Amino acid sequence: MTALPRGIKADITAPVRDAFARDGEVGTGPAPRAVLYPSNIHEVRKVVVWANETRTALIPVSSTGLRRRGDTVPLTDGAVVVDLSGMTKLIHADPRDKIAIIEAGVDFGSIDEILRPHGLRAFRPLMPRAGKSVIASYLDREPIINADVHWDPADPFGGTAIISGGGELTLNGSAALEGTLKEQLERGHRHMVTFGPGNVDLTRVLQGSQGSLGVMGWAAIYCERLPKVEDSLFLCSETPSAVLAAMREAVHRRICTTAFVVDRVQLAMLLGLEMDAAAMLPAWTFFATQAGYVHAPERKVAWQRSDLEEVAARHGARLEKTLLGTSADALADRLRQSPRVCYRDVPFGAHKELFFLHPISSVERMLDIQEAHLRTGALAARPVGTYIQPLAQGTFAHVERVMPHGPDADVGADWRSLAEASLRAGAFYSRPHGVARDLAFLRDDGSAARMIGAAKALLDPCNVMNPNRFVVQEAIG
Amino acid sequence: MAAKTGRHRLTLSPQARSELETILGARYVTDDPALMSGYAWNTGVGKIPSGDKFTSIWPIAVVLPATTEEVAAVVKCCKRHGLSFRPHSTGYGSMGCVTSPDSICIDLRRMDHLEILPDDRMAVIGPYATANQLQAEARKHGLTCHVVGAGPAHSPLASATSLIGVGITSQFTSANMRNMLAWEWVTPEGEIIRGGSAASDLGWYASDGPGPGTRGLLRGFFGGGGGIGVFTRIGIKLFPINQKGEMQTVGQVPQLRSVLPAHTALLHALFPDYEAQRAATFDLLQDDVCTVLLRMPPNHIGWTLTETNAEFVRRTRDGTLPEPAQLHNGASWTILIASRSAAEHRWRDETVRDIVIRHGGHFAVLQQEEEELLYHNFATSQYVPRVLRASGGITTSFGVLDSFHFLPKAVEMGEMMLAKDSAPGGALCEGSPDEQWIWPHEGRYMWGENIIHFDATSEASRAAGALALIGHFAAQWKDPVGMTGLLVGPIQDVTGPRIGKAPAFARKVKTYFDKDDRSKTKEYVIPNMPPLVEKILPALRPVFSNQMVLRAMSKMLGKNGM
Ligand SMILES: Cc1cc2nc3c(=O)[nH]c(=O)nc-3n(C[C@H](O)[C@H](O)[C@H](O)COP(=O)(O)OP(=O)(O)OC[C@H]3O[C@@H](n4cnc5c(N)ncnc54)[C@H](O)[C@@H]3O)c2cc1C
Repeated sequence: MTALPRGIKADITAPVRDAFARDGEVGTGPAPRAVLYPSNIHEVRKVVVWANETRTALIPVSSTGLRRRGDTVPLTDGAVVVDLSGMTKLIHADPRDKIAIIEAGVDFGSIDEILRPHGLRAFRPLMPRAGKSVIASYLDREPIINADVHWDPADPFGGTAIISGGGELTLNGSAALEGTLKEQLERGHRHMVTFGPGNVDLTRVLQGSQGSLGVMGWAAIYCERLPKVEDSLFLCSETPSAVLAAMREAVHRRICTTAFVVDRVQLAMLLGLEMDAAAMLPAWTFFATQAGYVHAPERKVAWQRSDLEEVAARHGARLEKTLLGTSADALADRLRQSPRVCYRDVPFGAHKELFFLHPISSVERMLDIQEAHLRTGALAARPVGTYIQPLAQGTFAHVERVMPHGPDADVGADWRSLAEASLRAGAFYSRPHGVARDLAFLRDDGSAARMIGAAKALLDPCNVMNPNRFVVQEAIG
Repeated sequence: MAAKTGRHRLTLSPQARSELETILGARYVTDDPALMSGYAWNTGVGKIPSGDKFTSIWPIAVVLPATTEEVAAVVKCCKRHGLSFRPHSTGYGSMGCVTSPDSICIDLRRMDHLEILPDDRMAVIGPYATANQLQAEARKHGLTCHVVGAGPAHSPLASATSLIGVGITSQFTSANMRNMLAWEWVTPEGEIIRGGSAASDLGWYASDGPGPGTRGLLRGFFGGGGGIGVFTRIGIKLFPINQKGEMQTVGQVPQLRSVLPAHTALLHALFPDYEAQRAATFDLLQDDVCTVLLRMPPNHIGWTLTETNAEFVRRTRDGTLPEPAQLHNGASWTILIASRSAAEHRWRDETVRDIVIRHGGHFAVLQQEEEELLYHNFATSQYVPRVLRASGGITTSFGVLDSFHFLPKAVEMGEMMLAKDSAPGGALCEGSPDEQWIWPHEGRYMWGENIIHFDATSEASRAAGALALIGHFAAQWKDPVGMTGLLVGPIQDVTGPRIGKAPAFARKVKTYFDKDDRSKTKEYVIPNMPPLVEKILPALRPVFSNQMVLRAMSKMLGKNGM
C-alpha cells in the first residue's frame, strides 16, 4: 500500500474511517483507508497530485454531521477521504459589493455569524443542517430560498479556485487575474463573475459533479445585505393553484426575497409542530419575505406588501401573519437557524426525500399524479410533505417530496415506486442522489452519459475523483 | 476533397456536392459566387477589415439545413470529405465569415423555431429566431428578451451559445450565457447531443444535469465562436416588463421614439466626477432601485439625439447639444425606472433622485422627444446603428467585468488608449477619446467596453484601430481593470496560465470533440498547439507589450484585416 502524502494531517483510526463508510440513507460502502485534512488549497492540490501519482481514489468532503445522500460513501476499495471541513477561513467580505470569499469548510451553522460584522448574510437552502458546508451546498446546486436573486443555477457563486482531478489549480470566473489573491483584493478586484474566463466555465462543470471532477478550495459567494426591515407573510389556500399562481407572479415581479410554496405537512415540519397539527394548517402556503436593505426600507416594504396583497387577492390566496401561534416572521428567523438535527427527522426520527426539477406551470399535474400514486399504494396513510422552490427567478422549480417516518419503517421500495412514477410523469432528476441515482439517467438519450464521460476525461483523466459516482460512468467503465 | 480555382477559392468536389444535395436538396446547396459574396464581406462592423470589402477567404459552399438531423448530416459529410465548416446564424457583423477556404458555411436561416412559454417566462428558439422577433413575441405576454448591444437583428441563440452575450439592459436582463437554459448541439463530428432537461426529453427549461453542468465545457465567457460545432436549439429565459403588447412608437426612422409606459421614468444623472459617480453607483445598485443603468460616452448620446452627422457636427460646434451630450459630462448615468404601481414608482423615483443629489449629482433637463428617443433605444437596443454611424468602422476593446470600484479607472484607461489617435490629425475617427460604455449586471458588477471608431477605407486608420485593440491587452496585463472578457484566440495563450487554465482547458475540449479542427474559426482557441509553444507564449508577453512590436502587428492587421 502506498504511503500517504507527507505533511498533510491524516487519520487512519478505524472509528474515523468507518464513519465515512456509511450515511444516514444510502447504507454502507467500503471504509476509506485514511482521512486527510488539508489546511489550505495548496495542500489540497498536493493531495490530488499524490492521488494521481498513486492512482488513489479521493472522496472530497466539506460538511460535518450526518450525511445522507450517499455521495461521500466510497464506491471503491482503498479510497481516501479529503476532509476540508477544517478549512473555515473567511478570506474576505465586502458589504459594498455584497460578496465574500470563503473556504470550503465554512458551514451554514457559522456563516451568518462570520458575515454579520460585515453587514452581510449568506443565501441559504431550506433549513440546512448546521454542519453543511456552504460551498458544498452551492456546488450541489441545492436551491436557495431567495428566488429573486437566483438568476441562474450557478448562483450564488462568483469566482472560484478549483483543483481539477488532474491536479491543476484553476482560477475561475473573475478570480482568473494577475497576481496573488491578496494582491487582487488590494487592487479592488472582488471576483464577482462566475463564468469564464475565456471559453470554459469550470465552476459550472464542477457543480453537480458530486466530487467526481475536482475539489473547490475557496469561492467568492454572493451575499445578502442584512436587511433594515424585513416582513414575512403566509399566503394560504386550500388548492395549490392559487398559491402557485400568486408565488409565480410575485417572483416574476421580484417583490419578495424568500419565496416558496409548501403543503401543510411540510409546513408543520418547518414550524417544528407535531405531525398531528398539520391538519389544522392551510392545505397550501406560499411563504414570502419582503426586505428593505438600504433605501427608505419601510416604504419599500410597504409598497411591496401592498402589491403582494393585490396579487394574493387576484389569485384567491388569503394572507395570514400567524399560523397556529407561529408568526411568519418567526418562521423567517427559524429559516436562518441551522438545526443540529435535520428538521425532517424531528417528527419520527427518519425521512425519505425525493427532489427534481419541473416547470412551475405544470407542477400541479405532477402533484396530482404523485397523489394518485400515493393514494393507491402502501404509503397511503403516511404524511408526505411538498416543497416547491422557484429557481432562475421563477423559470422552473425544485419540487421536493418528504416523508417523515420511523427509523425502522420498511418504506424504501414504495418510495422508489413513487420516484419511478414521478419520472414517468416528467420529473427531471438533475441531481442524481439517493433513489434518483439511477433513475436520473433512465430517460437520457445518451447525451448526459457522453458529456459526463467527456468531463471526466478532460478534468480527471486518471479517474481519481470519487470514481463510479454516476451510474453512467460505471457503464462507460 | 476540393480543387483550387483562384487565389482564395476552392471548389467543391462533385461527390461532396452530390452528397450535400442528397442531404438537403439541390436548392439548399450553392457555390454560386453571386450568392456567396454575401457570406464573404468584412466592411469593418465588429472586426478590422482589410482594404477590400470582401474577405480574402470565401466559403467553398453555402448550405441551408432545416433540421438538426440535416445539420448533423452536413457535418458528417464535411468529415468524410476532409472539409471544414462554420456555423452562421444571422451573420450580423463579420464574425460569421469562414476562416479557411475549405470551409462550408452552414447558414441556419431555415431553423427559425420560436415558441414562447409565457407562464414559465421562457422561450424555445432556433438559430434564426432574431432578437427582434423574439422580443416582439415575448412582449405580447408582458415579457422581453435580453437584447445584446449588437441590436435587434442578431440571433439570441448564437449570442447565448457562442458569442459574448452582454447588453445594455443587463442590470435586469442579465447576460445570455446566464439566460441559456437547455440546449441542443451538433458536435464537430456530427453527433447530436442535448443538455439539461432536453436530454431526457423533458422540455427546454433546465440547463444543467443530470449531474455536472457540462455546458461549462462549451460555454464560458466568450463562447466558442463557431469553433466547437453547431448549436441548433435552446431554451432561453425571458424577463417580465411593465408593458404588454406593442411599444407605442412615434416619429420616423432614424429617429424613432417610444412613448414611456405608465409608471416609467427615464432620467439622466450627471456627476461632478467619476469618484462621485462610483460612490453613487454603489448606492444605486442596492435594493434593485433602478431597472436599467447605462453610461454612454457623451458623443454617443449626441449621435443618438441628432438625426444626421451634419446636425451632430453643427450642434457640437455651436454648443447646442443637450447637457448629456456635452463632452465634460462623461460622469453620468442614463437611468430607466420601470415600475408597475404608483407607490412602487414613487419609491424608486424619489430614491434615485435622493441618491444622485446626495452624491453631488444633478439631473439633465431632457425634452420629451429626447427622453422618448433614449427610451426607444433602451428598450430595443437599437443604439448600434445610431452611434456607430460616425465612422462606418468599429470594433471594441476591454470588455471588463468587476466591481464598480474600477469605474473611474476604466474610463481613464479607455481614454488613454484612444487619446492620441482620436485627436485632430490622429488616425482614428476624430472626436473624444471617451468611448467607454458601462453598465451593471444583475445589480452587482460592472461591464466596461471601449469602442474604437476607425475609417474602414484607410489603412492607417485600420492600423490605429488594431493598435488600440491589441494595445489594451498589454495595458491590462500591467494593470488589470478586471477580468478581460474579450480574450479570444492567440491572445488568451499569451495572457497565459497566470490567469487560470482556461485556454489550455478549452484546447483540451476542442481536441476531445474536434481533433481534426473541422469546426473552424479564429474566435476560439488555437487548436492542437504543441505543449512547448503553449508554455513559451506567455513568456513572450514582454515582447507583445513592446510598443514597436504592437505597432508592427497593428500595421499588419490594418493591411490584411483580422
Ligand atoms: C456592431 C456590433 C455590436 C455588437 N455588440 C455586442 C454587444 O454589445 N454584446 C454582445 O454580446 N455582442 C455584441 N456583438 C457581437 C454579437 O454578439 C454577435 O454578432 C451576435 O450575438 C451573434 O449573432 P449573429 O446572428 O450575428 O451570429 P453570427 O454572426 O451568425 O455568428 C457569430 C458567431 O457565432 C458562431 N455561431 C453562430 N451561430 C452558431 C450556432 N448556431 N452554433 C454554433 N456557433 C454559431 C459563428 O460561427 C460566429 O463565430 C456585436 C457585434 C457587432 C457587429
